[in-house]
Amino acid sequence: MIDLDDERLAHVLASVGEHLVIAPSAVDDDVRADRRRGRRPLVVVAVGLAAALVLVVVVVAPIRRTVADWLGIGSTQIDIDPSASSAMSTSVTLPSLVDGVQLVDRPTAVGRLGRDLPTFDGTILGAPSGFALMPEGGVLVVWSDGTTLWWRATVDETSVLLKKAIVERLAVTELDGLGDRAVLVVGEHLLRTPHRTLGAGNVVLWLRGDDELRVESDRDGPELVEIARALDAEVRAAG
Amino acid sequence: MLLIDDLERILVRRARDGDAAAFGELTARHRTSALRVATVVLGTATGADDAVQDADVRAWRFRASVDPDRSFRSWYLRVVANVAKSARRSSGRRAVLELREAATASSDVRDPADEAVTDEERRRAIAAINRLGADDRLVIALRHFEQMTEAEMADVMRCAPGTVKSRLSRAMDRLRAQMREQHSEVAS
Repeated sequence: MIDLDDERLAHVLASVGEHLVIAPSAVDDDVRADRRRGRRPLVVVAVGLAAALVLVVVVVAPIRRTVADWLGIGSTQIDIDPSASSAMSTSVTLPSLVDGVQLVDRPTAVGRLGRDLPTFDGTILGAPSGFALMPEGGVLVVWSDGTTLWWRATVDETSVLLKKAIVERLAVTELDGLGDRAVLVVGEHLLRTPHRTLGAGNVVLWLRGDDELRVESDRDGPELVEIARALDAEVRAAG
Repeated sequence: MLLIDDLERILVRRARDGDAAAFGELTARHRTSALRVATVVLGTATGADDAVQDADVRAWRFRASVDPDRSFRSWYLRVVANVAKSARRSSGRRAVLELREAATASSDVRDPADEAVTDEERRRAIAAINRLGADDRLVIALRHFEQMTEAEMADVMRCAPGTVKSRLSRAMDRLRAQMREQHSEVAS
């Protein structure tokens, strides 16, 4: 067993796969039932999946028309969490997106993104004042007025990277004609990443191909949307 | 007579068009693999079915991105792995992993040579796997538990097949190192 040859080890591992426990024990079930009341037993879920999905489609369809993709967009999941307001009341202590990031030169940012960056000087923001590499991936473009554009390339939209906690659904509006899909989130909210919990303000999130973009500013919603459209035009032109 | 792949392609097309029953059929076909991948990523069977349910919802949301001409299983297992990773990060767990061996096989489909593998061999392999990181466990599981090709694994892991090869090689090296370490611990 110490040094199995490749073939034998592969055989043992295949057998492990066949024998692995993949369903919780009865004790686990009890614990989980207490923790997550309302969750259906696995067998019921398996049998009733199709029916449940039909129900989901019917019930959720109006929501989908109101906001993009069940209050989520790309790898960003937007949760409605009224308790977020109490966390935000202490937002003076919450860092913002730019806190703790180190500015880098343009070539370094281009290297991280894997493509050339537009000049971004065709918008009312003018040329950016710097770039930063985000610990969660992608590049942050920073302007002197505090506006930021977080650009992540080749994002896997089936993963959940960011979680936004907003107080009410009305804060989210679906936008037409911006990238493949876009939403505006108005008001202060929490942004949770695998690395940090941040305070965030007005934000436009949009998808273009495999790219996920997020512009944040203290400007009001309509003005921020116009800025997002101008930035998107430069992103599109840069190809 | 339709080949299974042809049928799956038809189901994918119907699911993309919003046919929830077709989508349910597709995910049901790969339920065991999904639970196994979620279990391996989480490090425990507890929560694996929740992760798979969440993955089902997310997969349904993003069904338009499924390519009918590529493996649905690879795409679906990618969603499951991503959701399980997210759940693991959110829970902040877990210092101790608990992959366990079932008393009986989890599938009726058995390799005839399986009987030749002893309980002790499996137990030691699981103990070594438990000491690996989630990424190593996932790549080993895709290759050896799910019997995926490097191309299929590349689809799941969203990387080049060459990268899969090097990641798998490194994971297997670490697995062997853990097995040797265990042996040393037992011997001493």
